[in-house]
Amino acid sequence: MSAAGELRPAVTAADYRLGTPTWCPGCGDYGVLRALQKAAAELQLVPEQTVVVGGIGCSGKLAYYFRAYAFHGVHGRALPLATGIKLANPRLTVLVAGGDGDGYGIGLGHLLHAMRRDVDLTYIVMDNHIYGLTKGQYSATSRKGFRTRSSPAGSTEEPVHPLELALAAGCGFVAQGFAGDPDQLSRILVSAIRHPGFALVNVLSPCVTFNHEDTYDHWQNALVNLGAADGVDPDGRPTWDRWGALQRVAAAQELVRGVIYQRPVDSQATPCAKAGQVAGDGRDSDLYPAQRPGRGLTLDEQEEYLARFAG
Amino acid sequence: MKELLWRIGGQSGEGIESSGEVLAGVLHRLGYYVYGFREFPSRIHGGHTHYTLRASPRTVRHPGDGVDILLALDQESIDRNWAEVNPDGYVLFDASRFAARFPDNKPVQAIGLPLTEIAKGLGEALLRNVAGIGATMALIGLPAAIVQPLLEKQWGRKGAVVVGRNVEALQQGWQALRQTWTGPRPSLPAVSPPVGQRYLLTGNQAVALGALFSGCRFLAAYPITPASEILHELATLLPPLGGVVVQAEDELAALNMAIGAGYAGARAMTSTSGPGFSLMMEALGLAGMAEVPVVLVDVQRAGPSTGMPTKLEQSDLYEAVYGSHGEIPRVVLAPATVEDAFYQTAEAFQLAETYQCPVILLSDAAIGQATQTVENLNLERLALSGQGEAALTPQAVLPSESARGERYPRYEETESGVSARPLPGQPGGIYLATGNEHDRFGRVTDAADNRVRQMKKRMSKLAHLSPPNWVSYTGPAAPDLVLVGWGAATGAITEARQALVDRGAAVGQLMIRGLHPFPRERVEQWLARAQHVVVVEHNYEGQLEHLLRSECRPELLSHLESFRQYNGRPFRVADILRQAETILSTVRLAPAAMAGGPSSLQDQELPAETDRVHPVRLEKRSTQ
Repeated sequence: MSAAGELRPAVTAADYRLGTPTWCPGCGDYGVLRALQKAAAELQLVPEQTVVVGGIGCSGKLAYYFRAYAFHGVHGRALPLATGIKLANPRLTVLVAGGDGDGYGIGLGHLLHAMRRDVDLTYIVMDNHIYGLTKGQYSATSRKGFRTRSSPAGSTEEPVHPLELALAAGCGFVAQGFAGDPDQLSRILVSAIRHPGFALVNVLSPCVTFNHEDTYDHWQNALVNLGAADGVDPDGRPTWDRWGALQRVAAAQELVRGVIYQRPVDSQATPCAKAGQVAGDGRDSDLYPAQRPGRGLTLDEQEEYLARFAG
Repeated sequence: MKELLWRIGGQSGEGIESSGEVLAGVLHRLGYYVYGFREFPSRIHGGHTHYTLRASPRTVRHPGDGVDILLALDQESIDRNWAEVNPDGYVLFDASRFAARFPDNKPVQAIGLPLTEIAKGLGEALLRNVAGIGATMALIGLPAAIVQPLLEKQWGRKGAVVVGRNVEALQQGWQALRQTWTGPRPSLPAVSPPVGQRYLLTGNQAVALGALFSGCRFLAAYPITPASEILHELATLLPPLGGVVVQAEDELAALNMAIGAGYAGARAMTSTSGPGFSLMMEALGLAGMAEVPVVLVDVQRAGPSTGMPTKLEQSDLYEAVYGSHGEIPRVVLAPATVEDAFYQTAEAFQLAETYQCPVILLSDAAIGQATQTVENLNLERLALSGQGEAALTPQAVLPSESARGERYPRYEETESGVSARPLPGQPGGIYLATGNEHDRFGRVTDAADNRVRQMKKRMSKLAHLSPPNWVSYTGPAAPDLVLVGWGAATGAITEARQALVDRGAAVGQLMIRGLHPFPRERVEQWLARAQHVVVVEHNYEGQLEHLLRSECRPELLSHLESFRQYNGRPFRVADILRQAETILSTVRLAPAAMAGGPSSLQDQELPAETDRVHPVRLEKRSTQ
C-alpha cells in the first residue's frame, strides 16, 4: 500500500471526476464538489482508499461525482453508515456529504452522537436552508418566517444553529465554508480531513431554484471571513478556545466563514477514534484486512473461549 | 422424583436470580442437565421476581409444567406462584419474615425455616437466599459437603470471607431443614459425572460465541431486553481480537453501522428485539438493495410496541419475512435450541457473505435468556457451517484495474445473480453502492429494462437455496399427527411428542429452522404424509401457520390446525398434550395406550393429579 512507500503517480483534481452532475445550473454544490476535488488532490488521497458516503438529497449526490468508493445510503443515516465503514477499516479516508435536511433534520440525532463519538470522519453539510429535491419545503435551518410550499404563512420554528450546536456538543473541528469561495472551502476541507477525529464543515451552498433569499449575493455580503484555516482566529487567538468560538459565532449569528474551532491535534483522541484497529484478526498486514474475517481462531483457541462457559 | 422443578421467588434486587444461578451451576457441575429461567419485572429494584430451575438426568429444553418445590422469601411469592405449585409439592418459606398463608386448600408440604434469622446471624440479611438453597439441597438429598468445593468455585473470586459466609449460610440452611422437617423428602436420581465437555449457556451467549468463531468482528447494537447479553458478551470478546463493538445511539444507527462495516468487508452484525427490529426496517431494505452482507439478530419478545419486554413471544415472523418496503432478497433463520443458535449464527454469516444480502436470525426470549446445559458443541461442524458453499463466493476476485474514469461493474448481471464484490481499498474496484435502483456499475437509473434486469438479479440469488437442515423431522414415517413448530416452542413440542409416543401414538414433530426462503418441498413432504397437522406457536395470529398456508399446496393444508398461546409464558406440555389428544381421538388410537401402563404418564412418585410428562432427551436431528 501507499504507506509502504510504493510510488504512485501524483493524483490531480481531475482524477476525482466521474460522470456529469445533474444539479441545476448555478447550484452551490458544484463549488463544493470542485473544492473537495482540489482538497483531495492536495492531500494526495488515493481514490481506492477513499470512501464518500452520501446522504439523501441533491447534496448527497456528490458521492456520484467524486471518483472514489461510494455509498449512497438512506435518508438521514449517512453518519452511522460512515461510522461503520471507518471502524471496520480505519485505513480508509471516509468523507460524508449531505444537506441540511439529511444532517440537521431527519439525521440530527446521529450528528450529536457522531460528534461525541469522535470517529475520524469529515462531514460536509451543504446547507441551503431549503428542501430542494422535494421541490421547496422549509428546512431545519430555514429562518423563522421563511415562506415555502409547506410554510405558506412563514415558518414558525426556530432554526437549528449548526455551528453553536457543534461547539456545544464538543465537536473537535467546526468550520463553515461558502460555495461561492471554493478556494477557501478547499483549504478548510484540507484541514478538516487532516483533523484526526470528527470534523463538521457546514457549507452555505445556495439553492438557485427554490431559495431566492439565501443567495450567493446575500451570503457574499453577510458572511464575515475569519481568514485562513490555520488554527488561529483573526485576532491571532488559537481556535481551540471553544468558549470564545461559541461567543463569536453566536454574536455573528453564525454568519462567518473559516475554521471556527479546532481541538488541539492528538491531545484527546477518544478511544473510538484511536481504535486504529481493523476489524480483522489483526494477524496479517494485508491492505484489506477486514476481508479476512478472523477465521484465524484455531480450534484450541475456540475451546479456550468455550471453557469460560463450562459453568 | 424424576427431576427437580424448583422455583425461588422474592423481590427484585434481593439476589433472586443470582442465587438461582448458584443452584443451577451446582447441579450442572454435578452432572445434571439444567434449564434455568428468570422471570423478572422490567424494573431494576423491587417487584416480584422469580427464577425457575429444572434439573434432570436427561436433557431438558423447557422449564417444565408447574413447580414441585417453591422457595418463597415473601408472601407475595406464594400468592403469585401458587397456581403453578403442583399438588403435594413443597413450599419452603422464610418463617422469620412472615407466616405463610395459602390461597386455597391445595395440599402442599409447607416448611417454615428461619432463613433471615440465619442470615442476620452471619451479618448479612441477603444471605437468606443462600440459606434457602441449603434447605433445598437438604430436601432433595444433596449433602452440603458435596457442593462446598463447587460453591468455592462459584464465589471464589469474591474472596475468602464472602465464600466462608456463604458456605456457612448454606450449611445452616441445610441443617435447619433437616431439624424442622421430618416428613418425606423427595430425592433427585443420582447422576454420574458428565462425560465430555458440557457448557452452561444461554442462547444469547451461544449467538455471541457463534459470531466470534465464525469471524464476526463488528457489532453495533442498542441495549434492549431480551437481547442485551449478545452486546455484553461481544463487548468483552471482540476488542482483544481487533474487533469493534459500538453501542449505537438507536437501532437506526445500529443497522446502518453494521451495513457500513459489512460494505467495508468485516463480518458485521447487529442484535436487537422487536422495537429495535421495527426501527431497522428501512436499512434492511438498503442492505438488500445495495447487496451488503449483514446479520441481524432479533431476540423476539412479546409485542406489539413496548409489549411485555421480558416475556416470550414468536410474533416477529411476518416482520422478518415480509418487513421493509419493496422487495429484497433475505434469509430468515430460526434457532430451535441453544445449540442451533450457535451453529445458525455461523450459517447466517456464511449465507450473508455468499449471497450478499441481509440474514435475519429470529431467536426469542426463551432461547436467548434461558440458561441450559449444552454438550457436544462441534467446532468442526461450526467451521463447516461457516464455510459451506464458499465456492459460490466470487468476492474479491477482481480483474485488472479498471480504466480511470470508470467504475467496476459491481452489480454485473450474472447467472447466479451473485456478482463480485470489491472492498474499499481494493485497486480497480471503485463502485457506487446505493439504495437507489442502479445499473451494473451502481449508477442510479430508473430505466424500465434495467429495473427488470436488476430486480431479477437480486431476487434470483436465493432461488435455489434450500439447505436440508432447515427442516428437521423426528417421528414415524406415516404419522397420525405431526406437531409443527419453530423456535421457543421446540422444548414443549418435543416433550409432548415423546409422551404421546410413549402411549403408542404415531406422532412426529417438524421443526422449521429456516423460514425464508421457505423450505416448501421439504415441508410439503411431511404435510403429505401426516393424517393431522397442528402448528404450535407463541402468537395470536398463527404466523407460521399463515406462512405454511401461503407457501404450501392448498390440498395439503385441509387437515391443518393451529394451537397458539400469547400470554407471554411458555407452553405447558400438558396443554399441547390435551390438544393433541383431542385430535388423535378422531384417529384410531389403542384404548390400552390411553389408559396407562408402563409407559403411561402416571409417575408413582408424583401425585396422580399432575399431568406432567417425563423429560425427554432431544433427539439428534434425523431428518429424512
